[in-house]
Amino acid sequence: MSRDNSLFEIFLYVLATIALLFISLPLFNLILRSLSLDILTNILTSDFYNAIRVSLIASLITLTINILWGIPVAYLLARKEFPGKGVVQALIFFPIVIPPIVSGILLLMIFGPRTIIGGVLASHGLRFTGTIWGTILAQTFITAPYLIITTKVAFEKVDKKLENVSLLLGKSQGQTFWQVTLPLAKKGIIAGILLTWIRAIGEFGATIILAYHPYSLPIKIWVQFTSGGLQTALPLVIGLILVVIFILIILRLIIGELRLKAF
Amino acid sequence: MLQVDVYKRLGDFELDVKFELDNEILVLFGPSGCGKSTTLELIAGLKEPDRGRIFNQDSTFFHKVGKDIKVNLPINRRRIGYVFQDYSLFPHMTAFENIAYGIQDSIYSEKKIEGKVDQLLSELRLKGLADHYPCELSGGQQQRVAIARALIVEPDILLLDEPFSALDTLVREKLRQDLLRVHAEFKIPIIYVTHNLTDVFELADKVAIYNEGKIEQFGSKDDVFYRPQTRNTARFVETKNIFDLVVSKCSDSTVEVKNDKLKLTVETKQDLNVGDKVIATIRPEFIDLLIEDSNFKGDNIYSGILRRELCKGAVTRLFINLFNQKDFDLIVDIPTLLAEKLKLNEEVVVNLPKESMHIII
Repeated sequence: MSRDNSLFEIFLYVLATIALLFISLPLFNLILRSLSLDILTNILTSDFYNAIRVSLIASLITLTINILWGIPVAYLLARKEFPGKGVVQALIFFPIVIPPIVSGILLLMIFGPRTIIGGVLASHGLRFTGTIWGTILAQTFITAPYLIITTKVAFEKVDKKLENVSLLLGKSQGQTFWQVTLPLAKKGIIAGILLTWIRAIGEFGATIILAYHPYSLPIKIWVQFTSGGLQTALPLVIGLILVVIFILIILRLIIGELRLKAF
Repeated sequence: MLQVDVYKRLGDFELDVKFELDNEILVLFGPSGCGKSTTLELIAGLKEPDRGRIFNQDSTFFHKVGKDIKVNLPINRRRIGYVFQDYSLFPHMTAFENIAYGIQDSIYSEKKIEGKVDQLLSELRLKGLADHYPCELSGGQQQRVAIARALIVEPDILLLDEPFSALDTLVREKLRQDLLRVHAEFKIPIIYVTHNLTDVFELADKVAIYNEGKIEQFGSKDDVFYRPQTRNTARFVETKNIFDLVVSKCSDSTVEVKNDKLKLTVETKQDLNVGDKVIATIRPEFIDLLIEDSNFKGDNIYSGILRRELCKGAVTRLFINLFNQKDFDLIVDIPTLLAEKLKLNEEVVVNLPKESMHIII
């Protein structure tokens, strides 16, 4: 290794260390602060239970909806050429590039009780403000791009030639999708689903506009923080982080297992 | 019978080919990028011709006249076995599952499927590898799985796109024998794309020489190798000794052709006249090296200086300088044992047998 190279590497390592410290500092700080038993025993309160229940139910319904319509969108974008594809791909990024609170306002302008669509739906008993459906609406809108984009990449990574082989062997497009494309894209799709789930559980900006009540976990944290300060919010913060870490562990386990089994 | 007559434009490249094939092995041979693989893709339906017709036995795969597509049979109804250069095995399935894939969800019972897969495993020397994933198999084993997978659906045509090009010589040799055995058993048209001359020699019943999107020559192996119809065909099949000459004398079965340096007598039944410009060719292996110190007899005896030797194993290639002072102008292949007696930059005498020479008009 030349001297230039080693200096360059040292430079990279220094910058990388600074970045990693910056990213991990809040977590380390939280761990240090939560070492007191009081805080840990305060996590499992009825407040936490109610809020996590809302977050989990809403996020699981969000996930189901996004899987049902996100996977077909991702597959079509990955495999088909059609006029306006570039525009569609740009549109999918829209919920990511605008601030979540703005997304909440935009959704309120369509699904709020005084709008045409919101009014019609409310007359049939489906209200999107102050109900868990509002939480679901916000989460679905904000997280849809995450699932579509990750799943699209997973489909693109599947060699098109393998799908052609399946067709050449007399299989239908449907059989090819279920027996070749989906199993080969499975790892990426599962990763996308779990990341979408984590993002849904943490959704705050759009949710607070549409559904202040019932409290989802991030909103409950905000309420506790503004009313009781840091100490009252901290147990909920730790609880939320533990849930996210739990999902990340599942993600690692699933991907690890898949790699061992087939790849 | 497979009948292909298609035209396809891809950017600046135009493919325009027409041929017919019985239950034979047709080898598509030519330089890279000349349209060989595209022809297979058009037959399989992976690409759509701009116009033309593809027809196999009772089934029309494709028929387009002008802008009117009359028939375009979906890929999965063409009954085509297709083997790719990179094997393209399903990485999430074992060798057994890969082979069985085409007949799963079919009329066959599980036991019947197992029987058919087992038979192909043994025919293609894959016994004991059924439970292996593709990543656990060698290149040659993967390609045999790919061939078995293509054959299990009992296709009407088998298309192979440079199937053995990534494999070493010994494996190629064995796989060629496997393919000939498969052809003898299945008796279907096989189209094999390659730019390896040994593949052509060992496999072909018919050869199509491709050049820049067109078929330069289509015919039997002997026709293409020994009676090339164009200079390009002669070059592609490594005829090596190609001379531009003019007919100077004609008789019943021979003609005399010459230029300012060379005068050759060639046995031919072609209709030629004095003054015709022709190309005379002779393959390096047909030229005799005259070693015995005796009175040489023959119409086309020349002496020259041996400039270079290239040992290719059993055969050694000699580069002989007949007229040029710097370069060589004759290439001769002789048994390596004979070549050991020769010395560089010394005189050698060769005979170009008139019956082994060929005239391209």
